[in-house]
Amino acid sequence: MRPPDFAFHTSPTLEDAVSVLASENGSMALAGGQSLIPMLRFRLVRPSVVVDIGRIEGLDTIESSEDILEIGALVTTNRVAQSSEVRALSPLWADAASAIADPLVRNLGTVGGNLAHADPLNDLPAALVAARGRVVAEGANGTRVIESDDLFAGPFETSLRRAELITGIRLPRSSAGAYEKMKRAAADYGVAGVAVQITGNGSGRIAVAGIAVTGGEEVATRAREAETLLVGSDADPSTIARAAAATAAAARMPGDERGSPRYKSELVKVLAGRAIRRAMERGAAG
Amino acid sequence: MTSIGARLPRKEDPRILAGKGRYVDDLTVPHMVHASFVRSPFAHADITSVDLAGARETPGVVASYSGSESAAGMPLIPTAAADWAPPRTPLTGDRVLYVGEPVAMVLASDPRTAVNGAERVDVDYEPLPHVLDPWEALSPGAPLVHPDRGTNKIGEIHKVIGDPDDAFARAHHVVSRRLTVQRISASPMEPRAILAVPEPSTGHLTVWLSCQGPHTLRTWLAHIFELDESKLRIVAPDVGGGFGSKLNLYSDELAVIWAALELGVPVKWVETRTENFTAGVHARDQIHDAELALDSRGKILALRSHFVGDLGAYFHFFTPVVPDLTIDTLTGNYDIPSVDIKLEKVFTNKMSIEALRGSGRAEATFVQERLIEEAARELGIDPVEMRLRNLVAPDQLPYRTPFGLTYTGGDYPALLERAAELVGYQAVRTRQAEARKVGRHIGVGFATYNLLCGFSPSGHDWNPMKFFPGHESTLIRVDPQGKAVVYSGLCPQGQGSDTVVAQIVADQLQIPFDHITVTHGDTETIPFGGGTHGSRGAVVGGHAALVAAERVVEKARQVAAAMLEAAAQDIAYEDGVFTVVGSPETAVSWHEVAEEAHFLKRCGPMFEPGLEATAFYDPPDVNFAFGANAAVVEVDTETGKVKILDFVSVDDYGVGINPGIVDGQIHGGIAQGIGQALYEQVSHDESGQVPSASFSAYLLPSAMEVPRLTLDNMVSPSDTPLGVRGVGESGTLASPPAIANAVADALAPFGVRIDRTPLRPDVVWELMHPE
Repeated sequence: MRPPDFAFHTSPTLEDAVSVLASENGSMALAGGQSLIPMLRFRLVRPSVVVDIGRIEGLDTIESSEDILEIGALVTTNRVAQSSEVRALSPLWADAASAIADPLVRNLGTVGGNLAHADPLNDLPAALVAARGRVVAEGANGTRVIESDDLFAGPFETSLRRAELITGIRLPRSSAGAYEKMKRAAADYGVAGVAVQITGNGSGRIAVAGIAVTGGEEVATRAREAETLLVGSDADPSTIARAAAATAAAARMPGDERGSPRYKSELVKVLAGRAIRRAMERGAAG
Repeated sequence: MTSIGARLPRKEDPRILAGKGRYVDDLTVPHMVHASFVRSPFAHADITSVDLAGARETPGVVASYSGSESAAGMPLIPTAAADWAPPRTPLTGDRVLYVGEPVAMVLASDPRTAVNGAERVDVDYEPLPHVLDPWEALSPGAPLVHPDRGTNKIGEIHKVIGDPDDAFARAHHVVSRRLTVQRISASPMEPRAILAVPEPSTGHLTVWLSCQGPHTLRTWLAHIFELDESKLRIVAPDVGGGFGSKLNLYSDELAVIWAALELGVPVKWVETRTENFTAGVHARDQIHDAELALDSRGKILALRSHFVGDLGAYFHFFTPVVPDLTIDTLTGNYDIPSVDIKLEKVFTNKMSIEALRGSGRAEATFVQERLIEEAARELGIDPVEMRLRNLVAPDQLPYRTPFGLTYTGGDYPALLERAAELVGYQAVRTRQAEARKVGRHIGVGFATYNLLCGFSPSGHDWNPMKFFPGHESTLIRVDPQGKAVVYSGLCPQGQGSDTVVAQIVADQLQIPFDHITVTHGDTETIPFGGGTHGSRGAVVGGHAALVAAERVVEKARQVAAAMLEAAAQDIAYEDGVFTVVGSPETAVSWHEVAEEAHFLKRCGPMFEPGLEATAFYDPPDVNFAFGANAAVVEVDTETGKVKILDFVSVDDYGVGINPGIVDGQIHGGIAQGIGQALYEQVSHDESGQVPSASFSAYLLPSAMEVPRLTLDNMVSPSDTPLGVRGVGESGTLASPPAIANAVADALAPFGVRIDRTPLRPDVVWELMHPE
């Protein structure tokens, strides 16, 4: 690797990281490095200082309360994928983390990095949006909680402020979730993915539905019309089909090496149908 | 004790698997500087100016050169395969012809600083119209890659044998397809790497090079730079894959050597993956308009293919002859009396194509096996039965192909039938029918192959290459302890030939496998060598080792005869002990003989001291290996994704010296074939850029994409002392068409035509849902 010149700083604490990131123009945070290091290798970014936040303690826990599953920002995606707690309390997140690249990437990549990088092809943004999760962030002005709908501002852009770091996420617990992804090869980025999380109203009807798409022009395209179609229904096949079509209609899919917009749009419809059905099956079982 | 045939662990593995390998990038010499290249971002453009000032101001930069300034003092780069090559210097001075062409180089104290300097080189270009499509390149008015020639057509070969016109005229049925074999990249895990170390005081030059054969490249280097070959040393240390892409001396490598000679300091360059994808050679890239003439029973009367080979912008060592190999191998194992094959070779504004594992023959196999599959479908004949009706039968051997190749062994129908049996052909058909009832689409596909290999006897038609020997050498030197060092002319890149050579030598010398050290890849120590390519390791290099070992044993027999006071012809050698025939108690051991050969303490000067021998083995003919593959796939018709459910390969590689290594070669070849079938493609956008120039876009199959493979083999020894046949490239030939045929079979209800690879999900889906 022949990256551009940069200084390197290892932060022992969150306070130190925030303070260095705040004081150094052009500084960037390094956690698992699965996005930043390739960008450095291609010289797509030229940070003045790379701040290693990977050694900060206390950000690598998975905890749950009655309603919430809380995952620390430095938890690796592989730990999310392997965690029986996540599998039980948010199968959507277990699916999505398992779908990320290959074990080499999952062993290093972190939850916080996957979200903060805001790559439209990253899987966790859609999982966050569909789950109506929240992000906890720490910056120079203290801690704040960001709603999933407010986190992503565009490809590779978030509403995180300068020197503000994600410290963890809070997910509403739900057994009725699923993530369906199509990738051409194990280590490839996905062509498309669809995240679904559903809450029942206790009498066989859907009370809350969250659907979001990976791989569109936006980061985690939320399929609001599809969500509306599902709410109040019992997810009968024709409603699922209409919701799947509405999901495809919501996402603007770019044409590239992985396929034409026409193909990808059809793929989103197929994946949406599969994800809704699987989420419903899991909800019924759970 | 026989070593041949034993599944011995590879001698190479403990070192390499423990990370103790030594590759060019691991080497450091004093005062070494590092190179980085500035490359063309245009497919076709005039260079109007190159400003090196920014690079020269960069701290740590030692020197910088542009083609504009320096090309006049640089040598022209020849090709091995033709008298004429498009004129080209290591750095291009005036006009670039493909994206990735080197135009300037910067040398600095470390690789990263060299890139910093290269970033600051300012090149102005005047873009020119470019041509990327070979058919377009042939049409009137197309932009010319080499305007002096007046055409983009490099040449044409047209072979008409038998009476194909008559066969097509009276055919019961004709099946025609336009079949495309895409451009792919060798993608060795170790990219290209070079360290050129000049010794200005003596005029010597040592080049450490990740390559497939240092001797031929030494001759070429001497030729290109007008150097004294005796003062040139080329060393290939550990090499991490080549697949044909490292048989060359590339322009950028030559620029490194040129700069080392200019500056008088060692220069090192290790390419990036992006560079490997743009400035490392590509392969395949043929479009065939192919057809079969058939009688009513499905017997093939004639094969016609008029095809175009897109060679890119320049010639590397084999570029102009790579597609020629396709012509004479297009009939494969099939008995086809009449052929009409026309090849047009074309320049385009792309990187050159070159040899890549299975080169020429993989394209031929794809065309012949796709066509036969389609013929079977159109005639309503079972695809296995269709092939059995057309394969050369054992009683037709020796069989002379229309192109004059002579097949002498093997049972091609039996190989196919075994593959069908192992894949459970009838059961798969049942399973397919059941699956279709519930909307799932399973398909089974077959393909056979005939691998022309073991390149190539001196003077043979298949060896037109200047400075590329068809023979191979081996020197075996036994030390006073009786242990042997084998200096092999092979130059492996991971094949395991050190182990194979040691097994051959162990059996002759009758000493333990562990008492044999094999060394290779250094012009200073190895007598000579053709290197490792074209499935020639065992077939050519193995025999050189065999003959050298026989000579060493003969010499040892003379020493033993002196020691035992008998005539050499009365000395028997068995189990490491020399005895006088008829009196087994009169014996000396190998170790005693080895000691006496060096110190002459017992017999005095009755023989020339020393125990070593050199052999050069020039094979009497090319070699052939053959086999059959069967693939079972399931296609997700909603997403287009193809999953391989089962894969069977039945191969006849003659005698297998090390079954583990042979299996590994077949596994690796099939993995590359799976890549060609489903994943890999070097793509060019309209501007000639290469969007596939990273592993995030170029899909190389990994362990997760390659299914468990079922291997079996049949043995028909070749007409050589070892009975071996080539195997290095076997897996690459039949696997792409077997998989493509399985996909076509799975999608038969949809009337989908599979005319090209790779069959990526979007490609399959688009075929099923035409706009």
